Amino acid sequence: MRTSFVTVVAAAIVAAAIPALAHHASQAEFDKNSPKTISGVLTRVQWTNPHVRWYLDIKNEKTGEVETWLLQGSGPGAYKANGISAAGVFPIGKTYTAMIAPARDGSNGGYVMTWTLPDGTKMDFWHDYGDGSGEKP
Amino acid sequence: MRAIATAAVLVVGLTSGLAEAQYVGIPKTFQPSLDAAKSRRQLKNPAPTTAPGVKDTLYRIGDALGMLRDTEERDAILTMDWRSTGTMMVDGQTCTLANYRGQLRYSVPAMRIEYACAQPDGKAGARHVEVIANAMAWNEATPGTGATPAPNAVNDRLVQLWSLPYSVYKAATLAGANAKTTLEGGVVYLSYPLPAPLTGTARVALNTTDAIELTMDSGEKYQLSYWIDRVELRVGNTVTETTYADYQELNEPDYRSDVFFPRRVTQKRNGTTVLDLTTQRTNTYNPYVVMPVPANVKAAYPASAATVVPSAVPAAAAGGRGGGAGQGAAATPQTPRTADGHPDLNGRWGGGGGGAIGTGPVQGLDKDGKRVTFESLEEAKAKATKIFARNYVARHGNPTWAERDQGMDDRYRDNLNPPLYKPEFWDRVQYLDMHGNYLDTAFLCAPVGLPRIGAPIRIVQTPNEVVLLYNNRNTWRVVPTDGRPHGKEDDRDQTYMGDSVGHWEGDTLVVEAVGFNDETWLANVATAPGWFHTTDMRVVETFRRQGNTLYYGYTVYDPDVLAEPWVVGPRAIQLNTTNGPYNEDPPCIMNPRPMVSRERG
Repeated sequence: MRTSFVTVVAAAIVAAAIPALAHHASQAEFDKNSPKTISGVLTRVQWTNPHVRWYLDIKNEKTGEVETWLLQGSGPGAYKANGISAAGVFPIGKTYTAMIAPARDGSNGGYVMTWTLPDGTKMDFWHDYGDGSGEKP
Repeated sequence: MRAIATAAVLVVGLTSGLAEAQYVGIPKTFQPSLDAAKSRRQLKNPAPTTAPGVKDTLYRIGDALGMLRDTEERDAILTMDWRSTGTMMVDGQTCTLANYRGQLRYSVPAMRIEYACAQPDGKAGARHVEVIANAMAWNEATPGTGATPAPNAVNDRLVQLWSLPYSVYKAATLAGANAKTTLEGGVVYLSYPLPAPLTGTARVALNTTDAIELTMDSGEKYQLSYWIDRVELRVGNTVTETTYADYQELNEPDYRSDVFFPRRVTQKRNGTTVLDLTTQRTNTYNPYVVMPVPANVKAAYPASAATVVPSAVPAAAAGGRGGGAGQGAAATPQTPRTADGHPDLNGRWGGGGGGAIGTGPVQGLDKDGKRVTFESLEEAKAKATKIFARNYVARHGNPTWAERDQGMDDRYRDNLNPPLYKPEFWDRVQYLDMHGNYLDTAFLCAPVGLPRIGAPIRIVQTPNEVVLLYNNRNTWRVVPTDGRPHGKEDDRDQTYMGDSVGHWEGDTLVVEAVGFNDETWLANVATAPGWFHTTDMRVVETFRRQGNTLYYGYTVYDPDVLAEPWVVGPRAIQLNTTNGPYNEDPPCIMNPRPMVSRERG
């Protein structure tokens, strides 16, 4: 029942590196209880505070129009501490798949839980169930 | 009924009413918080046939109440604020309450109960404010003012404090091996001696049959049960029996904490009903609640009355966030000095605390599903079945709880040493904290300012000045140490970092900063729970090097709003002898989407 706290130390070190930033709960903006999967061409990456942003061109199946989706993640510092850089991981112009928590205001976008990179690598950006599975059952 | 209506108006007035009057841009409605569980259902468990152990019993009590947070499942309840209606025995008469507000601070431990009885015309009568802090009791004219010692009330008020459900967990934990569980007629009882200076016992009846089963995102199912039904405290000849029912989340719907509060409370003293309360609204998010002991109260009690009651919170977690030990630092007894004889502050300090971070190793799962660290992204891509972009573990594998717990933990840590505001600002601090998503200018990408920015990551020292460098927003300060006064008032008009001058007091560099705007909030470690300041704020920082350790502390003076200077630290920061790159702090770009709830995490 009780989860181990082996990785709490690691989490604390990451937190130590990003002081003085204000954090709203991402659930104040995104619905983690209704994840969905989207695919599209990555057109832009903003490695900015307080949240990294990705722009994806996705075709709206109803209208046939290509729409820009704005996906968001944590702060760049937290990713950098785990070896994830914009240049190294997210070349633009290729097709990516993301499982996202959709924006609660209904706009085109969400918070990235998992990225599937063009080479098939799966990267967990949010959803870790503590048991290490990292996957929605 | 009238009393309930009055209280409801009061509560509304304090939340939405003020919002419209004073602040611009806060939406009138928010979407409710998300439920951390995928689903919940009520169920009935069979009565136990053997008494469960004390440890297991306490875990279940604490877990059901929502006290145990973070992956460590540590008691995170420090402060609380709630508003109720009902009836109460006052001076032998039953009064219908026009209003009732309770506040708790478990670190002291302390409690403040504020209430007024309804007059025949329905209006609120005289205000009663009753406080206990450790073993000192006093009454106040209004919260925080006009104190009169009430030494005869110490025991009664401690009984009230220790009767609360959270107190059961805390007091039984304090009792250690003296806490016992028994099974009597199918009911589990928890018994333990009361904390000093009371001499008496507590006997708590638990409801182990009613349970809420939660199904988490991971598919894990688990139960909340072991509800505290009845608490019987026996002190001398007095038996105080408190019955609790209808445990619920009673925070604002978009400000859920997952701490359950009993909506119904009744209390009997030696068989006579003395209290019958229904609680409408709580703030269990470790809100800003303080019970400073006035000088005249302190003088009325022996010194031991300030410490005789044990603190009812776990020992503080080691270090705060933003500290961060430096890598490769070896302690040397010798403090290096510059040619002019001052301690040499030059260098890179700390691993975090505004420090730059390079690209680190990569976490991932190996083929056996074990979490491992890979040297590089290339290695991780070749060997990992899954790569983690950030280190992240949630209680019961639930991301919503991870954030909600972070909000609880941050306020827990911060509020252990909060700035003491003048009483007229106490509710304002709570309000600002609750609406931080809208009112903390850091969310608008404004600089966080001094002292929230914390300690510098690098110091460059010359005989006449000290240059302080921060990674956060790539900030710098040049502090003259040549004895010059502050700049002209015109030149230091309302800045984020202030106009700083420094001087040496022995081996300590003292830096005084003035000339601030009032846009920023103070922070203790990482968050800034509504701790506002004025343009008259003065911040005095101290830097003292001993061996390879830098001791950094600060004191905030803002006499218009603070009742006393706020002293933080000093905390130890290690010399960082690594030679890694300094990375530019990426710019802050404002969020294009509005927040739909007030939760922070």
